[in-house]
Parts: sequence; structure tokens; C-alpha cells
Amino acid sequence: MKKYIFKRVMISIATLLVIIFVLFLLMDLMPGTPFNDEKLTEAQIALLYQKYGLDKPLVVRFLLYLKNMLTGDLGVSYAINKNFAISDMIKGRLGISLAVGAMAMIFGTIMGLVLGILAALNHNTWIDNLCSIISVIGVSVPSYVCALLLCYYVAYKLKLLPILYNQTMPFKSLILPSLALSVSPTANIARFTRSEMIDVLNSDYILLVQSKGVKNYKMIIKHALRNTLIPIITVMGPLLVNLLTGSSVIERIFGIPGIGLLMISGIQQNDYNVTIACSFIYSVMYIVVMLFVDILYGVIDPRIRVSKEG
Amino acid sequence: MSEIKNHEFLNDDFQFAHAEGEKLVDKTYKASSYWKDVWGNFSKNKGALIGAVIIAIIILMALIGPSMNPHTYKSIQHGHECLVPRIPYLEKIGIANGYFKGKDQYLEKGLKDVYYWFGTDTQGRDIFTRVWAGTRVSLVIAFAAVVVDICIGMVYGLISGFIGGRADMYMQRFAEILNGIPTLVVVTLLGLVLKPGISSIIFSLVLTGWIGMERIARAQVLKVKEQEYILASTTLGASKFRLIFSEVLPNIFGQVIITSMFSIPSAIFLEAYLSFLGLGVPAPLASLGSLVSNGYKSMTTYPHILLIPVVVLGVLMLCFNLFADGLRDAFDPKMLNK
Amino acid sequence: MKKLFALIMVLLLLVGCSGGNGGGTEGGGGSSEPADATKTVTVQAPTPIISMDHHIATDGTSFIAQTMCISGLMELDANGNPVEDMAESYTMSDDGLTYTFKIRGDANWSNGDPVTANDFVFAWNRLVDPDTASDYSWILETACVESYKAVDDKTFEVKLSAPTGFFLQLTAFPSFFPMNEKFVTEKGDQYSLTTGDLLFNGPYVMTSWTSGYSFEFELNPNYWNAAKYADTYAQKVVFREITDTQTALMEYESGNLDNVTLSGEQVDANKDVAGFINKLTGYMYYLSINMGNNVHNREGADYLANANVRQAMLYAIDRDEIARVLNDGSVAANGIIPIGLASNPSSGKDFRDDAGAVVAYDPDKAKEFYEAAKAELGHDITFELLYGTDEGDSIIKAAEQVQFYLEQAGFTVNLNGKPKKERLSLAGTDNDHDYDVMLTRWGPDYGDPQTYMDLFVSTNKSNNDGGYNSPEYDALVADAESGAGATDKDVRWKNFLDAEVQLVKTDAAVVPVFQAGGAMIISPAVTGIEFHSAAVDSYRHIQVNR
Repeated sequence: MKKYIFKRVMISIATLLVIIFVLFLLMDLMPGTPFNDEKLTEAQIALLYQKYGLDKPLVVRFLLYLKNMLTGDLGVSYAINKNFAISDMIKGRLGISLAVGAMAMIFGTIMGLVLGILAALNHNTWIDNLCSIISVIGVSVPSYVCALLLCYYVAYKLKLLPILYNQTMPFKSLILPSLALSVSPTANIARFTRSEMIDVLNSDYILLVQSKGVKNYKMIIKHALRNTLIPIITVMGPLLVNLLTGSSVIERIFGIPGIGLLMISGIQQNDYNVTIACSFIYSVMYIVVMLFVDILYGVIDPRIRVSKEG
Repeated sequence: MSEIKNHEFLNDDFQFAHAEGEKLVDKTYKASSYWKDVWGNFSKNKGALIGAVIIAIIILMALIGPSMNPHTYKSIQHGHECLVPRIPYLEKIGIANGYFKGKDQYLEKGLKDVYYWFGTDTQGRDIFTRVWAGTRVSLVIAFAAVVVDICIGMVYGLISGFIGGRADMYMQRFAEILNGIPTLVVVTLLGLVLKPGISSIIFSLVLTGWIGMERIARAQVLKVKEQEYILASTTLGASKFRLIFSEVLPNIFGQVIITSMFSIPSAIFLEAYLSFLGLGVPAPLASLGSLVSNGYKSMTTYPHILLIPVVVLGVLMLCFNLFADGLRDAFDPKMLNK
Repeated sequence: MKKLFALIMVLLLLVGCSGGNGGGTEGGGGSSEPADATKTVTVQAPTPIISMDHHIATDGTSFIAQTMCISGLMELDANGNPVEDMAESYTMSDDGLTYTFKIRGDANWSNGDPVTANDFVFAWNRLVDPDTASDYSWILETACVESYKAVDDKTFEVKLSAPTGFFLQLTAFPSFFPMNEKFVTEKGDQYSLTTGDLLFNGPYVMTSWTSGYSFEFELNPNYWNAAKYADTYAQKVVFREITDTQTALMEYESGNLDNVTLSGEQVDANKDVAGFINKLTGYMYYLSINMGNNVHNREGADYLANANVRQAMLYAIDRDEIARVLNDGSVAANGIIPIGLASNPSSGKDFRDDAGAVVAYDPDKAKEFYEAAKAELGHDITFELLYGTDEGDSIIKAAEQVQFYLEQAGFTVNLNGKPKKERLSLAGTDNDHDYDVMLTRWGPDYGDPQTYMDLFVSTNKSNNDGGYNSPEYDALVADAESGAGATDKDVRWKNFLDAEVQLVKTDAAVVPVFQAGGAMIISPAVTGIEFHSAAVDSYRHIQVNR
């Protein structure tokens, strides 16, 4: 198992390197300059290119970037916060985005599991239908509409929580954004839990467990849930990463200084370094989550471990 | 021991546990084909049938809706901005009568025999026409998403999961690289290189939209492939191709259908998100997604501009899900035998 | 369950930490007493600060933040007239070519250094230094500044090559602000990156700056006019970055904000609210027509060289209706020069009032011109309209409206939306003007028609994207700026009036559409937010009365 994990980690690092290179290539293809074209002359733009080393060939820039990255230097911003070190820009923002994403994931997983299990245990009854309708509404109403509704009723009308993100009470002011963001994972997880659970409950080993007289709730937790979790973990991984970057709209609505918004501005304003750095963080998270999921498979389902090691 | 040996059985030693006097008669089933069974199962499911019918109605409306009145999706009527719905006949019983905050908007603007069935937006365009024109665009994108999911994602996941070993490893890393680059970066670039519009959205779906499905198909295969019936089939000498597509596939089809149904809203939202960034369908063309994100701006002032596309989108999603549930149950081999 | 609990704990910790980090860097030597809550104002900043270096910044928010805490020779009063700030007094020579500024004896930087004439010399040198790569490096030349020097520590002398009427007003523009040489050299690359890397000589000091969240100012006890500020003006001004108009309005209505910008959708429901205003900005939106730079042989741009095609476009658009639909305070454009930019040197009348409307809406005439063009070209006319998708909802709406009107006249118009950077790049020199027609805007850099007129002269390669080349227009503008107009203000004015007619009415090289407005609600408790259509809006004279 150790050898397998080591190998997986090394491969993940190689994958990351490829991703950075592809990002570099893509940035190179992006038309336009990060500088204000309206008021600069061509000679000035050439000077700026020289100043930031953008006139060097792609491979040279790539290697330089890698070298700097190892020392924690992600370059400076060209357009968003001119001449700011990107590592500083990201430092403050990453924590907040992670917090929102993680809170949303916790809300989503709990609510999703509860809805899914309830629906599966009451298969083909009104409870099942109600749970289905809730989860369908969850996926068909965009998160920003949910966000605004929550804002309007919970924060503005009832005054239970702050409307906008507030540095002095971060936890309290992040509840609404996380709730708004958790709507879609809730729905996704509920749907998967339900269908997996129905499969599992219909399987022979559950019948065996039942006939052995194991109590219902114990059976659900110990036997059914464990087998249901495998595919759910598969969807949870990518869902988490999507949350972290897909949160840009939520960040905008609640005025949260997060990384999602930064990436969007980076793309729109051609701020290469910001785009690459944000995408890179996204990729790291994605690869780590995937790695985690793969290893977790082995822990949860012994059969996969055996076949992988063999 | 000896006692038992000597035991003599009596007639009432054994009794039927439950139904006394139940008679077991063998039923003879008519031989029916696989697809007939599927249809039989599906048609028994009321929810799925209703779903299918409503989807059919929505598709029909998407085809004929935009030409049901003289307006087009881009025609602007100056002076008719932000009107609430007004429908003939229904207005007499107090529904959709053009009243907004207690005032007759139509009367205030001096419009007598003017009817906008779903109202107008902030530029004075007919929402009815725009919603159905938008549904048309969204359905095309949704359809493309499903095709991409099945043709690329499912097949890729099946092969990767089933073959395993080194091939699986390379295929997974390739997918990881593709997915490791944020979709937004890929799509933005495509939008800049290609003309923004439906084709660039579909192309970006082709590039990255299938990876979620691929992961799920692969996970399902991993779960299924160690099961005994696969072993049995392998022992009987089934080819890999046969194993994948006729033994594994039917058993994971339930999940695949559900997943592809879920890729419909995410494709529609991807498009909405892109519209928001100016890379979606080019204005003034509408899609359900862009109508929702435009309506969002009027949510607290003229909620009908948001509400109507959201309801259409919601109903469409609900029906797709009911339909998918029905399909899942109908395709499930275990269900077929019941 | 235990694991879940642990996860939640970690999460709480994380939130706690990030909150702590986000507190911003304290410093800048602000007043140590906590600001009085009733004297604190919280205003909305719709966009973040791009740079606090006043040679690097180009956007409104950055300039507003800089004028809060850094002072130039002059500042603008509520009406946009220059009044002395760092300068105690100034003298202008009779020929209007030499300005001598006397700098206040009690003008100090926040580290205690006095503000000297040398600070201006250093800053102006840095502005034009190619290494600084300032987007505004040309502005000294535009203002006809020939030379400048420090006569002594507190006397600064500027020589102009022509008597530029708007020079004094420009000294209140951030590009002309001073810099403390010792401090800036010492900080090097780090200058202006955090509040601790800045030096202030304005009425406020910047006490906190968290990008994406907020930036805050408190009274500067070292400001020469500090006593008056302590008595009269807000003690603390907090700028909160809020992009979403809906939550911003909720925040305002909950009493947490003192002003809020409204979108067109929100205006109807709020126009009777106390404190509602419609301000006019200096941004002029117009159609830039690619009539002479069609290097790419674009099919659409091919037809645009035809005068009848352009005339049809000029008459086809109902500008009043577009402004009404936008509903955000925008007004119809009657020419390329916006309202409130400049006034007649003799009569004091606004340029727009003097010039009247050089454009008109006449759908029949538009159709006539279209038919004439069609007859000349032999086919129907199709082209692409390029517009920005990340420049606000009004622009997308305006593009749709323009398309509608042009199609009414007979054209077939395809909309092509791109992010702003990409739009400018396509239409600019680095893509050899790869566009047909573009809905674009220009904001004035100073209060004179020249800021617009210079855009369209044939020698301006960076801005004249459409390749407009008219000897008559060039002659009029050249004469105004360096010929007869250089000495006679009335001739200059007359030339600009004629040049606008030549550009818009005669040649239809650009089609003005609307002048952008900004609907806003300002809390009745707050006064003194000053809007200048041809200069930076001012938040340095805010008074609170709670």
C-alpha cells in the first residue's frame, strides 16, 4: 500500500507539471496584452513586455516560473493589483474560499445523505417523491438565485445574519454563502445516495443481514451506508473542487474577497500571472482530491485494494 | 442424538409459515424481448410517463412557441418595458391581468388591446417568445451534453475501468490533466478563438464536459467487475468487448442515465455562466440560462422576468429527472426479472 | 461523527485565521484615537483599487483613493474649479506661459518631512520616465508643459509652451501629485503596495486596505488644514467593495452603507427615495466605425468607407429612447463632446449648449441613405458590432438597442461581445483594427474638448482605430491647438465646434450614442460627495450629520 501511495504521489506531481506547461501555452495563445491598450503607445507596451520578461521565449519563461515557484514566488500582477506579489494576493483569499467551500461541502453532504437515505428507505412513497422534488429544485435553480433569496429573507427581512461578508464576524457572515453554495451538492449527493442505497438495499447481503436479525438503523449505518459511500466519494471529490472555483458568483454577491473572483478578473483582464497562479491552485486541489479519492477507495472497499496491488 | 434417530414424523410437524392454504401454481409468461420488457416497465411508471409527456410538450413549444405571436426574440417595443403577464380570458378571473403592485400597468401606459402572455423584459421584448427561443437553445446544448457524456465519458470510463492496469493509469492521468485546467480558462480561450456561441459551448463540452461521467462510469465498473457473473462470463470465454458492453454496461446503466440527466442542468448552467461572462450565446439571442441571469437583476423589482424562465427551467429539469428515474428502473436487469 | 466534529473545528479555526489575516496592515501614522462612529462614513466602491501609485493607476477608484490621502498643488471645489491645496498661492505670467506656485510652509508628509518643490520635480520626472511605464506619461506634453523647476524649497515654477486653459485644473489630477523622493527611492519596488509603503500629505491617511473587501481612511493630523477637517468633515471614511447591485441596495437599506449605486432595473422602484440622484459622468459612448483601417479586408468594414452607409447609421438611432431604456441616468448624446466637459471661454456657456445637437433621429432619412448606399454598393449591408461584455449591463443593453435601430433602417447587424481587454485589443493596433463597428467609450482626462478631438486626428495611431483621415478636420484641430487658437481662445473654441460638425455631421466618422449616467442613493445624513464629469470624483469633503 505504501509503495502504491508513493507511486501515485509521484505521478500526481508529474501531472501538475504538465498542467502548468499547458497553462503557459494557453496564456501564450490568449490574444491581447495585460496592459491598458487604450492609452499606451506601442513603444510603451514593448517596454512593459521587457520589464516583466514577457518578451522572452515561452520555454525560458516556463523554467524561470518553475524556479521562482519553488521559492514561493508566483510573480506579480500586471493588471488587477499592479505590481503586487501574487502569493500575497492569494494568501488572504485562499483561506476564505476554502472555508466557504468546506462549509458548503459539510452542509451539502449532511443534507444530501439525510435526504438520500430517507428517500431510499421510503422508496416509492410520498417521502421519496418529496426528497426527489427538493433535490431537483436544488439542481435547477441557479445558486445565485438561491443566494439572493436567502439574502433577502434571512438577512434583509428577518435580520438573522449579516447580508454581506464581514471581517469582524467571519463565521456568521459565511453561513449564508455556504448554504447557497451547498444547494447543488446537496441535490447531487441526495440523488446518488438514493439510487445507490436502493441498489444496496436490494442486494443479497443486506437480505442476509436482515434475516440475521440485525436492527434496522444498525444495518443502514454498518452495512448499507458503507457500500453506498464508494460512488458518492467519487462525486464528492470533483464537487468540492467545483465549489471552490464555482463560488465566484457567490463571492460577488456576498462581497467575499475570495479566489474565485480573482481568477475571473485574471482571465478577463489578461493578467497572466494571476490566471496561472489561480488555475495552478485549482489544479493542485483537484489532483490532491483525486489522489485522496483513489486512496480512500482502497480503504473503503478491500476488493479494489486487492486488485490494485495485484 | 439417539432420540432424534428414533423420532417419528407426524403430519402436523411442518406447517406453512405464512399464507395457509396458498397454492403455488406456475405462471407461464409470454416470451418477450428485452426492449419490450423495458417499455413494459417504463410505461407502468406514471411519473416517468408524465415526465416524458411534459418534455414532449416543452420541445413542441420550443419549436412553435417563438412563432406563436408576431414578436421575435429580438424585436423591441419601445414604451412596453417591464410589463407583467396579461392573458386574454384568464385576466377576467384575476390571473395574469396586467396588475402590478395594485395598478394596471397596461392601462397606465395606455395599452388597450395589448397582451403579453408572459410579460415583457426591461427592453420591451416579449418574454413568451424569448423563453421558448431560449428553451430551444438550451435543449440543443442539453442534448449535446448528453451525447458527449454517453459517447465520450461513458465509453472512456468503461474502457479505463475495465482494462485496468497501465492503460487505466494513463487514461486517468490524461483525464486529470484535462480536468486540472479550469473549465473557465479553456472555455474563455475557445470563446476568443472561435466565435462565441452555441458551437463554442458544445466544443468546450466535448473537451471537458464528460469527465464527471467518466469518473462515475469507471467507479461503477470497478465495483461491478469483481462480481461473480463477470467471472462466470470470462470463464465461458466472452470477449472483452462483449464483457464491457453486454455484461458490465447494463448493470451500470442506471447510474449512467442519472449522471447524464444531471449533466443537463450543469451544461445549461455552464452556458448561463458563460453568458454572464459574455462568452455564452451572443446577444440578443437568448437561452434559459441567460434569461435567468438577466432576470436576476430584476428579481427584487420585476420578479416575473426571473420567475418565468426559472419555472420553465425547473419544470424541464423535474421532468428530465422523472424520465431518467423511469429509464433507470426500466433498464435495470434486476427490475426486469421482477 | 468524531471525524466530522474535528473537521468542523479545523474549519472554524481556518475561518478565524483568515479573518485575522484579512485585518489589513495597520500603519501610515493615522490618529491614534478610535474614530467616532457617528463621524464614520461607509461608502460603496464598485471596483477595487488597482494601484495606489498615482503614476501607475488608470482607473476611477484608484484615483479617488489617491485624492483622499495625497494632495496636489490645487484641489477641486464642489463645482470643479481649482483652489489652492499644497500651494499657498500661485502667480501666472501675463502671457499665461509661466506659473509660479508658492508651497505652504505647514505642508508636511505624514512622516514629518516638509512637502517641497523638489517633491514635484521628482514626481514629474518619474511620471515621464519610460521606466515607470505610466499610462499617463503623455499628459505633461498634452498640458504643454515645457519645463519645470524648484526655484527654492517652497517655490515651484512651471513653463508652458502655450497658454493651456486647463493646466491649473490638471494640477488637481493624481498624475501631477508630488512624491517624497527619499521615501519612494527607499521603498523601490515595494512603494505603494501596502498602507505602510505609502506616504500621505492629504487630508486623510489610508489605515487599511484589503483588496476585494475594503479600504479605509482616517483624518491626517499632519495635514495643513487638519483643524478644519477635524471640525467639519468625516473622521473616518470606509470604502466597501461591493459589485452586486442587489445586495448593495439591501445593505444600504439596512443602514450599513451611506451610498449605493443603482442599476437601471432598480431606478423605477427607488427614484422617489430620499437621497436619490442622477449624476452624469463624462463617459461618452459612441460607435467607432472602421472606415479607413480595413487591413483585414473584412467584408463589413468594406462597406463602411461608403459615406451613405455611415450617414444612414447616424440618422437611424433614437438616442432619447435608448437613454430612457437604460434608465440609469444616461442621457442621449447630441455630439461627441459630453455635457459638462468644458465651457465657452467668453460666454461661459457649456460646449453642448453652444454646439447644439449635431446628430438627429430621422428614420426616414436613415432609410433613404441606406437605399442610396445599397444602390451604390449593389447589395444589402451586413456588418458586425463589437461591444464589451464586462463593462456593465447598460452596454449590453445599448448594443442590443443599437442593433435594433440599425436593423430598422435596413442593415443586418451581428453582435460580437468580448471582454473589454479583448475588444480593445481587436480594434487596436496590435490586431491591425480587426473590426467593423465598435460600441466604445472615452472618458475625458481633462476638462477640454481637446481630450476628445485628439482621438480622431489622422496622426493619432493609438486611438484613431477607425482610420478617419480628413484634412479639413486635421487642419481645424491643429489650428486650434498650435496655430491661431493657441493664442486666441475664441478661435480655438470655434475651431473645436467646427471640428465636431466635420467629424460627426459631415463625415459621420463616429456615431455618438449616449453619455453615461450614474443613478445613486446617498444617505441624507451625508453631504459633500462631489462628482466631476471631467475629473476625478471627490470624497474628501464628506460631512456627516447623524
